[in-house]
Amino acid sequence: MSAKILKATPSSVFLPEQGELRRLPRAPKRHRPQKFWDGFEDRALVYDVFWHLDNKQVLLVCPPPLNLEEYWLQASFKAMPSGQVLQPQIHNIRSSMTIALQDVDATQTHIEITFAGQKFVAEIMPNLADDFDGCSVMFTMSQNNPLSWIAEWARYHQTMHEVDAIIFFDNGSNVYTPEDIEKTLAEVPGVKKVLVMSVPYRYGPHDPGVIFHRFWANFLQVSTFSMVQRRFAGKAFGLLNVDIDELAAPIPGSDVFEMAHESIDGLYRMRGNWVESVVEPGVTDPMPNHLAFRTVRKDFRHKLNAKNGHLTPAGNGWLILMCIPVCTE
Amino acid sequence: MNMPKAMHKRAPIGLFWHFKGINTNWKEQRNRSNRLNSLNHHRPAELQNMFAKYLEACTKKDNKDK
Repeated sequence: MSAKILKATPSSVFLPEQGELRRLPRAPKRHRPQKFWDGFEDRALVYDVFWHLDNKQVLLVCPPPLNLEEYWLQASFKAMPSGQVLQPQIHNIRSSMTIALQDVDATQTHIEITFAGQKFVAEIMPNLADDFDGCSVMFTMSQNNPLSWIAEWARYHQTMHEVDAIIFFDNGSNVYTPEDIEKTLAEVPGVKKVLVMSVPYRYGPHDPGVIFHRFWANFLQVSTFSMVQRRFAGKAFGLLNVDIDELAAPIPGSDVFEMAHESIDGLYRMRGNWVESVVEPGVTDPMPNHLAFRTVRKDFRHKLNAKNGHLTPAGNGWLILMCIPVCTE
Repeated sequence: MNMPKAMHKRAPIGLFWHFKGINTNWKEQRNRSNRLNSLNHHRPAELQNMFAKYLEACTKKDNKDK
């Protein structure tokens, strides 16, 4: 094992279970199945609190406020232990919100948030951009995917796209530990940095109650994009987001990171093609990996897929990944 | 800030393969087993070539490491 294993934990704030205040979904009176309500993140206020790369701002990455917006607008923020009152800049998009607290003294360790009459204190986590300086970073979120799949996914992207660092958000796996994932990734030849962060929170449900953007309630995953950009990869050579069930096609003589650097806007887009769950003849593994699947539908349905993006963090790249606002100004 | 649409169009477009069989059903039920049907399915050359190149590169790397 040659990869360096980095450690990081989120600094989260949740509304108390015993209280009545909760986040409600868009169009809250629409009928939705119980599965939606069971998976909807109604208590998380902040997923992570950390230093901005400039060491002057503290960023709070949060689910979107929705019905809690008025409380956020009235919320107050103090740096601790000094008690300095901080001014927030709130950037709100459909599935995530980032709050940038301005001019924070570098000696401060915690943020006190007064929200809806309640006080919460969160530790300010360090910015790890120096640890990923110059790296070609791949990141994902996963729950209970077999370690053999994770190993193949990592080895493929290291081999075909020169990925040398992996940030892995483990969404509450219960069949192995985060350390098992670290060990699996660290053993992939060519991978030099590995960070597995445990985020055992609600992933968020598909919403049958809306017509457009039915995955809008996936607050956690969208928010981790912001965490990767701003807490971990601010100095990286590039970022690639692919799930464990996705492989970025090779690019003759290049890779996704080089393509993003060569593009005018620092972005490389990929269209998805579905590969059917038809196992190749002769494969006997009950949980076969990607290589066992090589069949695609002939009709248009294999193209009914989302688009992934990859970008370099340089220049405008920061401003456009998933249209999440940046808080550098 | 949203990305201007014109800027988005300038980004080069590549391809990723999305495997229905790599799935533990934690997000959605999508790994119902399919049978190969030559009328509806095919084995695209790009995917076969991709795996061939990958395995060749892995073999080279393994030999180099020995």
